[in-house]
This record gives sequence, C-alpha cells and structure tokens, in this order.
Amino acid sequence: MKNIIFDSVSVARAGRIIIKNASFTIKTGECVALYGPNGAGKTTILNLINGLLFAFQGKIVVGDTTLTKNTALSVQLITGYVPQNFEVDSRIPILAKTVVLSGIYGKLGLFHYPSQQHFDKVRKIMELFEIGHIFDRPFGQISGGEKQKTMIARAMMQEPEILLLDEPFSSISESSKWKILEIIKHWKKEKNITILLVSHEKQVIEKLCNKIFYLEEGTIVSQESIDGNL
Amino acid sequence: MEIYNFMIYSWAGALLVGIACSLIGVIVVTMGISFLGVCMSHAAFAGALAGIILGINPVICAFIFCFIVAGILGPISDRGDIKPDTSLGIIFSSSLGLSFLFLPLIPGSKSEGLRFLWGNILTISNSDLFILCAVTIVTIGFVIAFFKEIQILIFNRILAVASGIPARAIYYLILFLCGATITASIKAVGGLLVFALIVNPAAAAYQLTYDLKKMFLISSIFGMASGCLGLLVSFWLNIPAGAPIALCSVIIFTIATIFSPKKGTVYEMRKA
Repeated sequence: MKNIIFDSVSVARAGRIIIKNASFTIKTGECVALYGPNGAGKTTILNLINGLLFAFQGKIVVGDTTLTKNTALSVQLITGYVPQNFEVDSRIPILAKTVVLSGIYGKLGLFHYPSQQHFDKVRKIMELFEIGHIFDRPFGQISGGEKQKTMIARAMMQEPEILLLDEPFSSISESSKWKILEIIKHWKKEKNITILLVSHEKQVIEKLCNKIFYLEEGTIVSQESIDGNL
Repeated sequence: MEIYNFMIYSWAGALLVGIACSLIGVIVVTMGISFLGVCMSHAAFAGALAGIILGINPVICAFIFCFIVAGILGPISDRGDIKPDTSLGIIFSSSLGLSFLFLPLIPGSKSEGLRFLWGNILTISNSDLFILCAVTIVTIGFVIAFFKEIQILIFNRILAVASGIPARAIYYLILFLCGATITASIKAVGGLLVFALIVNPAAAAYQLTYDLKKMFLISSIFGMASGCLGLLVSFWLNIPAGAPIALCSVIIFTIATIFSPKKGTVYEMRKA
C-alpha cells in the first residue's frame, strides 16, 4: 500500500508561502486531479511528493516513508514524473530512445547498464505510444507532442507505483490524447498505481480521475469525487 | 637520448591533455557550464602562484585551489539562489584578482609564475606526464562508469534527481574532475589556453552528432588532433606550443561548424 498523506504541510519559496497547511490523503490506486489557476501550487505538490522540494512545516508520508532529504530517494525510485513544458536545446546529443530508457536508470543503480531486453522494452512502449518511428531520432528534433509522448513513455518504462503528470497532454493532438489516456487508464487498473494529474482540461480529468482537488493560492479550497473512474 | 625523451614526453603530453580535456569538455559543454573551464583554469593559475610564493609544490596548490572552487560552486548551484553564470563570473573574477595579487609577490624572476600562465608542453617532466596519465585514466573511467548518469544529467538535472539518480554527488564529481584535469594540464598548455582544449573539441563534436557516445569519441579525436597538430606547428615555427594547440582546436571547431549536419553552412546550402 502506497498511500500519500499530507499532514498540515506548508511550503515557502523566496519568502512567499506557496502551500498553506495542506492536509489530505490519496489512497493507493486513486487518481487525483489538481485543478486551479496558475500559481495555485499544483506543481509544488507534485514536487513535494517527488522529493524535489521539502516542506518547512508538517509532514508527507508515502507508504511507510516519511519524506525527508534522507528518505526521498526511496520514494523517487517508485515515482514516475512527467514534467510540464519540457524544453531542451534542439541540438542536444540525446536520442528519443535514450530518454525513454533513462526511466529505469534510477532503479538500475550505479555501475549497472541497460541490457538488450531493456532496449526491446523501450521499443515496445514507444510503439504502444505510436512513436516507434522516432526511436533513433534526436530528442531535440522531434515535435512538442512527440516529446510529451516520449516523456510519458519514459515514466511508463520506470514501472512506477506513483505517477505524477504535470500538464502531460498540452501539446498532444486530440486523437492521440484519448489513445494515451486509455493506455494510462488501462495501466493504472492493471498495476493499481496512484496518479496525480495537473491539468486545465476538465475532459481529461473526467476521463481519468476519480477525485479533484481545487487549489487557490496554495490552499485546497474544495474536493470533488468523480464516479465510475476508480 | 635526452632529445628523444623530450620528444616522446611532448607527444605523449599532447595526446593525454587532448583526451582528458576534451572528455571533460563534452560534459561541461553539454551541461551548458562551459565557463566552468575558464573559472577553474584561473583558480589553478592563482593556486600555482600561491604555491610558488609559499614554497609549496605549485601543482599541489593549484589542485587545492581548484577543489576549493569546486567546493564553492557545487553548493551555490544546488541552492539555486544565484544563477550558475553569475556564480562562475564571481569566482572567475576572484581567481583573476588573486592571480594579479600573487604575481607581483613572487620573489625574484616572475618566469616561474608565468610558466603556469602560458604553459610549455616541451618542458613537461616525467612526473607531470605521470599525473596527466593518471588524470586521463580516471576521466575515461569516470565517463565509462557513469555514462548513463551523465546522459540524464545532461538531459535534465531535475529529472535526474526525480528519477533517483545521485545527481548532486555526480555533479560534484564532475566539478572535482574538471579541476583535476585542468591542474594536470596547466603546465603543458597554460592556465589561459587550457580552456580552449576543454571547450573547442567538445563544441566541434557537438556540431557533428546527436549521439553522446560518438560525441565523446569525436571530441577525444579532436582533442588529440589539436594537441598533435599544435605541437607540429610549434616545432615547425619554433614557438611555444600552447598557442598553436589552442588555434588548431579553433580551426577544427570552425570546420565542424561549417560542415555540421545540424544546420551548418554547407548543410543549409545543400538543403536550399
């Protein structure tokens, strides 16, 4: 069981409080959408679970682990992360297949190298996301939508228990978007993974999530359940 | 026999400096921290001058200064309060200030100090070559051992942390290794010109491939070619080798940029 518990969590950055006294529980296998205006603290909540940020007050518990700088690694290894607006130098010497493969680098650990089986799995996942044709293409040279698909494929490669999606469909075409949503939904059911989704698209949220947290100025102002998605 | 030895040492030095600098160069260029090379090379120069003044081995002192710079840069970069280019600029100006402060304090002739500024590959000793060889082997070993971690660090440092990669430790290792490479190379090519061998071969390789493994390989070849061609020119014109080595690396970069398949001039002309 990998429940996520926020207990009176507050976060400040550059002298400004960006999350105020947040308390909630997300159960294993749930999909929760974080919805609200820009600057409401949605991405900050993902970064707190991911161990990229730490609260100055309150505690965050993931499964049996209370998140601190010393324990963050164990949570990072089971957490897939798809960041928003992922931009890199167009000439960066990294291929799309390498980006997907890098999903398992943390789990592989130091001094262990990917095998042919890992590459086969990369190809399979990329074909599932209909990006098999960019397998050997430079990441910086593919389209915005292909980049987002590659990043979701990367998270899938990691086989996470928790998946954090930050505006993952903003550059993906309508037809591809629904296909990927179906893949994620199927994957969630099969592996019982917990998902946190940041999105401004109500349709996407209603298709995938069973709960919505409404955020305003760092506070969860209300919650809403969506029937039929659990 | 002595002439034979000095020739062998020079060629071996040129090859080793070329490999070590160009490998570390690939990492700093792709991570967008090329200025780190300038910063470290000036810190090494200031350290070497401090060593001469204090009567300590200048190379050891240069190592210590580089490690101090690495130890300062790492936490600053982690905190994120100051932009990397700003912190590099501050440390660079501090190193340069210390160098100008130390240079007049050297008792007697300043030539010993200036030797570390300009470098001279023709005068490297057996022990210099041994240090260069050790640093080159460590650099190659580092790139092979941490290749996948370097890949993801280059791609995105935050994503590397989020994936459970010990990104901070590896970043610190890169800083220390950069310091060690520069210090080991400073006697051969000098504190001013070592930066050229860090950035130019890697920047040239960056123009030619999208594959990081190939980039390391191409950069090493360019680094070795710059070292050897520069040395040839220096023998031919009877001038110190540092400047021709740096200029050869610039010429290689220029040619790579013109023929780059990543929107190079020739590529664009063919496309048109």
